[in-house]
Amino acid sequence: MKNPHLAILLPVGLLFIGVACATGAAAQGPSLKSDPPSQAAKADPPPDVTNCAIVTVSTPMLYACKGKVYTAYQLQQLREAAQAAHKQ
Amino acid sequence: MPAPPAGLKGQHMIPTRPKSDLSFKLIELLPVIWILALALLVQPRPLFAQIAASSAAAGSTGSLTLWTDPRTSQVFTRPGPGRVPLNLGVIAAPVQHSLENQIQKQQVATTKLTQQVTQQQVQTDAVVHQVNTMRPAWQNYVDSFQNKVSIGGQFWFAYQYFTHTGWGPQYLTQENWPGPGNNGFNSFFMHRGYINLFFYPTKDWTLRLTPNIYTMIGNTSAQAYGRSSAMPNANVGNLGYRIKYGYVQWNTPFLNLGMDSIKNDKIIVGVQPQPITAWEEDLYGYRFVNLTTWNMSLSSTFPGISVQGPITFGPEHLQYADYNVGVFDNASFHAIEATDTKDVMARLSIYPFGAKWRFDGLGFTSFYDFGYGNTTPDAADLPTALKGPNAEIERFAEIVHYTAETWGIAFEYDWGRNAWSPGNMFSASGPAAVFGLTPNLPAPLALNYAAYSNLANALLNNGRSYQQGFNFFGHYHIPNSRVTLFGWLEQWNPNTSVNTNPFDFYRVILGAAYQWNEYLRFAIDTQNTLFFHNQYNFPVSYAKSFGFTPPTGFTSGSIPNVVTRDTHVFMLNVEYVF
Repeated sequence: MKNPHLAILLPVGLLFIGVACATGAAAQGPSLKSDPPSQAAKADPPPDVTNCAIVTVSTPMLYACKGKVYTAYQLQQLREAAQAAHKQ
Repeated sequence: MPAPPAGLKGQHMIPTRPKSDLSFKLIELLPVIWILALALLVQPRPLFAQIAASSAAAGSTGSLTLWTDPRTSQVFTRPGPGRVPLNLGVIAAPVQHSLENQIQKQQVATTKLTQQVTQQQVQTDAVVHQVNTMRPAWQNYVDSFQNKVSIGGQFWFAYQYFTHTGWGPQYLTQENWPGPGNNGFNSFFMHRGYINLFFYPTKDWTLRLTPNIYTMIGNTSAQAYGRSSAMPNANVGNLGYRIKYGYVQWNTPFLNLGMDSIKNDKIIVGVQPQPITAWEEDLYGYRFVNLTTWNMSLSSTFPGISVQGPITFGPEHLQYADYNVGVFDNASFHAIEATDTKDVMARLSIYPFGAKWRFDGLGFTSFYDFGYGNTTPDAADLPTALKGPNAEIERFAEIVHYTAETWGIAFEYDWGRNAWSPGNMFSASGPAAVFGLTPNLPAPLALNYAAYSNLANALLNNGRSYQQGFNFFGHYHIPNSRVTLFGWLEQWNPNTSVNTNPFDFYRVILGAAYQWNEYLRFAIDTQNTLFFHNQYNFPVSYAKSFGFTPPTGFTSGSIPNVVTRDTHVFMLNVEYVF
């Protein structure tokens, strides 16, 4: 291996990936199991774009929130509807 | 006794007489009454009273002459002593007949008109009915226009402040800065201005047209204007518009093949994103801050044809793979094709645990590109010392990535063959001699720079160079805030065949982004190009093994100070996308 930096970068990188996978598996998003009836009965707050992942930077902008994909416009509508309901 | 006819104003038809003469006068008046009655009827009858002969003979309205006693106001049918004529206008029988005919004709015409009006009303009702039927369809088209056309835009703008300027590749497109010796250089610049137009009047085909801005830079001369005048060149620095994307997309080629796993896959024909760059930019999420690795040397967009899409399985249609395979010109979207060959690119992403959305969870992505330098066949056959422009080109990337909704991390390994030229190395700023220009420097220094430029060509453009790169990139959203930290740590070796290549560099980018709303983000970041070898002089004898040619007048045995200065910049970035 010509480059001494590679000897450091490669194992560090693999370590990062391993830690990420372990942490991610523990902090996984919505599970495939259905929620208990008491939780499902509560109204979920609208998804917040800051807690969403970018799916596509294009027209339209797409985000993944709680396992579903929304356009930026849909998120905006949900946010504004929630704000209006909160004011009432 | 019939009632007296009306209309004889001022005339007393029934005189006031002694009772003894009453019956005689009534008998005498009776013919008058009958004549008048007959005169007013339609049927013409001879009258006892005199009728004006001239007017009667003419067949028009005539007159009836009676006699009246002014003393007694009696009316007589015959002249007599003390009686004066009393002329009454009557309608002669022929005139009556004519009038009757005219009235009949008018009645017929009126009847016809009535029928026409009735018919017209029926037609009008029919038209109204048609219009009423059409309006919902028209309204439906207008109302659903939004479902047939999408118009959006992407705007990227930045402010950059260089604490240290140096030579090196761009951090962003449309970005340039002066080389070493210009610390403090700063500028505002726009580096993306898309207008995204999507048309899909039918669900199976989509047309996309996306103009984008570019900075006009080039050697253009001033223009003579008349015998004694001229006007300056005004093109350099202008932001012009060019087509970035122009393609048709077949949305449903696999819909009816009975293969549920690929039913959403597409075929795209036209000027389109190549398989790796746009995908990786979305994975990283901060392309408005910096370029991804291969985008430093591989254009993001090529004319060609591709097939792409997710491969899903199971009742929840989880994505287990995502691919993009295409054949493209060797020339990018902003160059003219010169070759008789084509460039093949392919990307395959595997999600072993299934992905609910595009990048969800753990993924392994491989990318491969095989093409040629964009040179005409007759020029490619010419013998040259440096075959870089004519050589086969390969690129490979392997990325391991994990993406959650609030954070993501990836590790990338890149390998290339003849995939990095001096033009890529100095895409932002480079020595003048690399671009065929003479620097404004003292002659000895200019000669050293010329030797340095020739060294860059020899090491990076010889047709047998091998590239290698490693990078980490990722982001982390700080909980209960609008702030996300991001970073890009990269090592790039432009030619691994060279011992201690002076052009090896790190690219280190760290920053924080603020999400204002669903469309708008800001970022503040530091970006750095670090040439990490210690300074040294490159032996000319070793350089010649790569095809180095000393510039005229250069007689030294080594090329001095070949490790160029680092570049450090602070940036403020804005992104607005919808």
